[in-house]
Amino acid sequence: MYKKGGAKYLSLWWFFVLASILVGVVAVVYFITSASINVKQTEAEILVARVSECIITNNQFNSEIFNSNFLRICGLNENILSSSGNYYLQLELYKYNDCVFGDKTEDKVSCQNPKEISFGVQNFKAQCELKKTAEAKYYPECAEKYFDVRDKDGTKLVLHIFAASNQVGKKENIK
Amino acid sequence: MKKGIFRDKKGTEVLTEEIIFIVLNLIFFAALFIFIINSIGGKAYYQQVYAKQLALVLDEMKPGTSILVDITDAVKFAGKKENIINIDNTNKKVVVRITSIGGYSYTYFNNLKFTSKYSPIGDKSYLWIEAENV
Repeated sequence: MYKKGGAKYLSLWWFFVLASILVGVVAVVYFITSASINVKQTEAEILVARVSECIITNNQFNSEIFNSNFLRICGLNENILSSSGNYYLQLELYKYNDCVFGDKTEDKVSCQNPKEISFGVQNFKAQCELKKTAEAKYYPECAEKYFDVRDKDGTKLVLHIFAASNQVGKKENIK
Repeated sequence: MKKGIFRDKKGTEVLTEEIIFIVLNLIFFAALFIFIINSIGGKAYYQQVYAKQLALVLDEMKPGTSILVDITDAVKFAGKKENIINIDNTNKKVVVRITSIGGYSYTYFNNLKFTSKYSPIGDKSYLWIEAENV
């Protein structure tokens, strides 16, 4: 009689222990295998650096780049940057007089009438703006830089390079 | 006779047996849990670290350059020397396979052609990567 009563309480307890262990194991394995290392910001910074190194030499900017396939010239893969859905790259070229420079410590530049080329997902730029004011884990990380450059005629220009990455990587099946 | 499992000899015996049974099972599941974490958790994390770090390195490489990457930990985790890190020049991605449950890939945007070769030096394992124009 008592054995039956004890077994009844213990079976409930036993079920609870098993369920807790199962949930614990599944949760920890899930969190560890899905742990993400975010390198999107670094990727965007590398992209800005690659483009600037390619198109600016001794402060001189090759403006013909806007008329040709500069991704190929710079050794960047057009398919990945334009069609993978993970990147955005934008180049804006302004006349120096069309720009207003803010406090140098804040690095604020405001320009008008750009000559522009871009590749990839255009929404990323707006999403990066939103990210400045709100936390958005799944939005892209961005990098941008302004350069004082001159074209081959010596005209003073401002080049703005903006890059964004939202690549998260992919799990591969067993081969 | 008073009722209740703590006030009865037979009931206490049943309870002791069951408690020992539960404790032994908890030890078993704890061991299983630690095994799973050690075998999958760390490897999956390192797999991702290697894939992303290598993709960033490839993004920065210039034509004619080469680099030696220390993959000793990856070889140790994978328990094999071949087919751990593959650079897919067609799809522009680095694929790292350390765990037995699958690999991890990360794409790079550099348009160069990369060749890689496993190069052990002493006790350490390295991956020799060369970049050349397509």
